[in-house]
Amino acid sequence: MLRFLSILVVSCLISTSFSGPHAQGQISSEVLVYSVSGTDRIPTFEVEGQEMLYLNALAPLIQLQIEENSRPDTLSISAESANIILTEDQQVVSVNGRLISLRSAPRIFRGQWAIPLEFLGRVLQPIYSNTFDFRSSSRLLVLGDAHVPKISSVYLRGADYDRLTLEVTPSTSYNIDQDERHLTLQFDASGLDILDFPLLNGELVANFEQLAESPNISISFGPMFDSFSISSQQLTDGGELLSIELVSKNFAETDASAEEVASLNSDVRPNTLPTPLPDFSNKKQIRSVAIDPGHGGNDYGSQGINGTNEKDITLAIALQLQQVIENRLGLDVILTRDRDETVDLDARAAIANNNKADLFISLHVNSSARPSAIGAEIFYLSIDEYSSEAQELAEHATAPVPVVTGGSRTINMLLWDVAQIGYVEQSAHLSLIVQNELKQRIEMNPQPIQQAPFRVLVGANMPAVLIELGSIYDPTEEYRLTSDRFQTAVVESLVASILKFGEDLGQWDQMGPQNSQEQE
Amino acid sequence: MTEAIKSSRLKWNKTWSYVVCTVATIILITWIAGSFFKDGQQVSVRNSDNGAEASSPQNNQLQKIDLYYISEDGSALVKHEVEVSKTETLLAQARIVAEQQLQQPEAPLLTPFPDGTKLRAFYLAPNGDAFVDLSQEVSLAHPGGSLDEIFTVYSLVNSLTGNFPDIHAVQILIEGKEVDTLAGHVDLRRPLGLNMKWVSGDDSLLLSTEGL
Repeated sequence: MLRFLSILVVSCLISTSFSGPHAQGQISSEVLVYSVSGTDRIPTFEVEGQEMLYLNALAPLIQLQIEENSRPDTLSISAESANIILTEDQQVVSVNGRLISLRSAPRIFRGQWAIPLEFLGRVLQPIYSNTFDFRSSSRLLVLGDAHVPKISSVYLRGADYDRLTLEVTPSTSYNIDQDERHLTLQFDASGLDILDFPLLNGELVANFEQLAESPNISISFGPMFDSFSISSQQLTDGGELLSIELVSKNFAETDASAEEVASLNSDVRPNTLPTPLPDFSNKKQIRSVAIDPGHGGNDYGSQGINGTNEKDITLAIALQLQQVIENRLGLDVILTRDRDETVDLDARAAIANNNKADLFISLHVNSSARPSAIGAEIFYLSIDEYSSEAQELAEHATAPVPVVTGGSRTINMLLWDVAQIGYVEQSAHLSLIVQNELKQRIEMNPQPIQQAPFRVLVGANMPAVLIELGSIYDPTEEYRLTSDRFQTAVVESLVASILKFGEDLGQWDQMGPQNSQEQE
Repeated sequence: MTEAIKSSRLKWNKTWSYVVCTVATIILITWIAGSFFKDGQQVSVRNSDNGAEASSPQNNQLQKIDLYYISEDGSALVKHEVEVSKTETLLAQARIVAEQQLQQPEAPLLTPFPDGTKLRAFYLAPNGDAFVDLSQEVSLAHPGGSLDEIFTVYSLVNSLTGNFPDIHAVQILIEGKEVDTLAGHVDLRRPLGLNMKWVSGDDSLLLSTEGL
């Protein structure tokens, strides 16, 4: 009986130590290796939370010469002309006498030398230079002359057509194969490094996938698919943008003119709303608009991976917007900056206030630490952070002041540095209008309208919004943000928004604080 | 002889009285000083700029706290519970939490703070306003972007106001100075209170931290 119990306990201990999601040495993933001779897979496993791989699995692929040393806890490796020395449990590796630190140490695991995944990028990649390309995020190792282009994708969904944009870096030739149910892009490459798959389950496209280990992408059509067109554009960084327009049966059945169909081969959707002329019969119309191109001068704002600066995009759009508003609507436009110069945040609101602008639109471009956060967002002021000022304003909304001619007059009090508090409701309405116009033309963030205590908004003495037009962090978005068609779409959206807001303003009872009123 | 004895007793009594008075005075001063500095509340602004107070953990006791990181889809902050050493004072404890919030977490958690951001000093005012003095990297190395700037600010504000009810608001300073913003967006001219609207309540956004 005692013997049976002992066996049971030992069995339990053994099974516990080798089970569970984070058991030592359990195969967790793999590194896919592309070379001109084909594809290999190197399994990886976790040891104390670190992803490792066996050196012996990698050695034959890159001709590593491994020599055991007299000391069992060290290992010498010859790679190309470099001599690498590993020491067990030491987070420092010697390469030709130069020390390279690692976050986790090589170790002997189950009788074999295991190296952390970062060893590939930090130690081996500099040695092999152009013939060794480790892509940690996609767990790909590209060796020799193997060609594995990176592909990022953006899918824009529309009412009548969708657009799938693929950025292929470097540019790679491809063939198109189509049958009734599928469109297949066959790239002339060893493999594909697809950074992200768009989430598709729509009427037009049912699925988007890479065919197993091949350099082919397959797009499965949905029930409403009618036709497609592909256009491409070379990028300055050696990449290429493929824009695939997928037209719905609904759209194909309408009386769409040839021009409308042709215009679908653009980066952004055409302006589907005709721009009406402004109604000048309304007394509470908009006469001037302050446009604030975010950042400038020493303040570059967000920066894209290809070197695009937020300050340049916002200025380019602001200058176009100024021209269109002045020419088409006949309104005054006040720019807080019309060149690449540094302008303080409080000066921007002051420029708008001093010129008695009726609207304040601040243009920005976003950047996110997470690449999935893309699309336009509109912000208006959150007043929770200014509750004491709001309370003061509520308690002292008006005050009598003596005048030289005798008597007094009542003025509306305005806390100059928090002037926006009186316009939050109108700013919220403006945000909604801008969102409705933008979403017809460009991609929106899933949370398109937000409130925040933004410095540039709080001092604006008029309805004010800050628009983040997209994320420059994403290379495809970065390219899109600089394209003429995208910028034109933004300009058209904002012009339409100004018109719509002007119409609604006529129905607004309260215009915020009036300048002053004489008291009898 | 009797006079001599009386004189001697008088001397002894005088000496004894001095001793008693001196001891009583020392005890009184010690008690007053002790009560004054007991919890630091009487000090107008408490300063912990060298972390000395943080180095006196209470018998290895641990406190569970919530830190905030960027969600996997980049659209919100998510809570992440950790345990830190418990210390004697609110000031020291809050400083530990602020330092912990600035640390780089393990993947998949993603910090909203740029690399190299350091806590220079931490102050606590009697009205519950905390002043967190950060190194210039928080501004110079910030990637920009409204939402990420919001996440940077409110991860710190929420980790202090959310974990310590006695801290009502937090103002971020950079290199000892008040600033307008970190990267051109969020107004930092006044202390900011807890704001959970930037924190995801959607479980689908929560990061998997299993095994961390």
